[in-house]
Amino acid sequence: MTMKLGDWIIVLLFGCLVFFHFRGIDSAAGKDLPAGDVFDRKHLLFIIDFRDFSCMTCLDSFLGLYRQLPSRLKSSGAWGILVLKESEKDDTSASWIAEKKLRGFVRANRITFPILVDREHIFKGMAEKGSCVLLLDGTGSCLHKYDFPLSGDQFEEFFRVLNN
Amino acid sequence: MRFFLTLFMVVVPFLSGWGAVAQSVVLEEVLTIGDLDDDSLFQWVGVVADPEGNIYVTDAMDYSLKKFDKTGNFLAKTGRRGQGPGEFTAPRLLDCSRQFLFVTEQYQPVIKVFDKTLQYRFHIPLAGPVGDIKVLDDDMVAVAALSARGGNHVAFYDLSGRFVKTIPLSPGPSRSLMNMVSFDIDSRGNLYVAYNFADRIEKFDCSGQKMWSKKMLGIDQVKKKKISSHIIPLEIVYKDVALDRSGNLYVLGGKFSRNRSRDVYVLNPDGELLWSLTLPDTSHCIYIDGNDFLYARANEGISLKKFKMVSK
Repeated sequence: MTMKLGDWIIVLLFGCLVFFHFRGIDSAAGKDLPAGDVFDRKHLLFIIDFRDFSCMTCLDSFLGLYRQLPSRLKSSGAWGILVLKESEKDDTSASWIAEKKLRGFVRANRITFPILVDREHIFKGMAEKGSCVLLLDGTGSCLHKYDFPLSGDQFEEFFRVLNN
Repeated sequence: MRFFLTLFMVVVPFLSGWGAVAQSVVLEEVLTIGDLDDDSLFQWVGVVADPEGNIYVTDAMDYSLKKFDKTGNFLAKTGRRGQGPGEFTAPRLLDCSRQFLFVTEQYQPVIKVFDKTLQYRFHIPLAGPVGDIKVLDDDMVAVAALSARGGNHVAFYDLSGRFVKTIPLSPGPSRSLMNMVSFDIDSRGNLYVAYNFADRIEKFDCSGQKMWSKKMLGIDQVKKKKISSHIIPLEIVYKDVALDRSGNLYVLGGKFSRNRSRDVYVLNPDGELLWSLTLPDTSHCIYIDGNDFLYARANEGISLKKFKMVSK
């Protein structure tokens, strides 16, 4: 990962809230991003591939990681993007279905960070290999990208980098 | 009124080459549970109906078992994510006896048993994860193993998990997912099997004697991928089977069907194709209750549809 990609992610993440129509989910709907402290510590961006909702074991790695995150990251230092798949259904129906499944998943697993639905398919390219997590430094540069499921070594490395 | 709003389609005239009877069937939608904007179902997986018409559903997205009355009203829910009594990690298949509901968990060698008020009662330990399940009564369950770890057979257990008997299936690759099957058992104990990754539908009598074997779609083999030391099939041929009251076998086709995951082939007990149906939406399974209503998925699992099958 390069600085350019990290910059791009941050620009997209914040810029698209202005220029594109994203929808927040459940209690996180419309939540203001904590711009004041965005640039002073590490953050996480979860890219969640909608197709993984058909495979609960595919989500286990994500949930295992989520459960071990420091509480500050769970509440204000992480964001998620739900990337929609190509669907036989029209975009509106596909989006409603995705949002409903996400709502059930978020509630059942008590996920507290906001997860936005990428209705414009902006992040589609980042989910080519499925769901992943980007570890960003305080300036928004991407330090590491991990594809789910993480191996044991990747899991340890993730938390080592996060905590350093 | 939610019922009878939609008259769904389907019919399929018969291919004379299959020696079919000139008959057609219309699916008439009589009930929908779960809509785009409610919270009743997030991604249902297993379904079963009891003799009173109550409908039970496993929901993988919120790790639950849910109960609805015969008009689709929500009655009760149990379960949450976890590995304790009454909790789920990935609830899957569902069947019922007079007293109990039996729920499988993906990749876990266990069947969790609940009463019909959804109170957790006990679990049945098994030798391996479950590929398909059929409850025969309040004292026996039949299980097809997830074949990469289990054998190529349907095994029968009592409710304590004690092995009772087995019916071996047709030989296949050793310890391979290629052997995975969906099955159903009729009132005489005959076993009907559709192979998930091979073009093969078979009937065995209760002693394990093969009665017939059918290849309906002309598929020689499916695409596979080698991951680590495992050969993983990538294309599903038949997704599920169910029997109606007359003993006809309904087989849901997968990737190779004309209407992928929507075509249902109906065979008589002798294995002759009677007719086929096309579901209005893709489904991962079919279920037929004691009154011959057919249940299937819609909207990628957030809706459950119940159909009346009307002969024309």
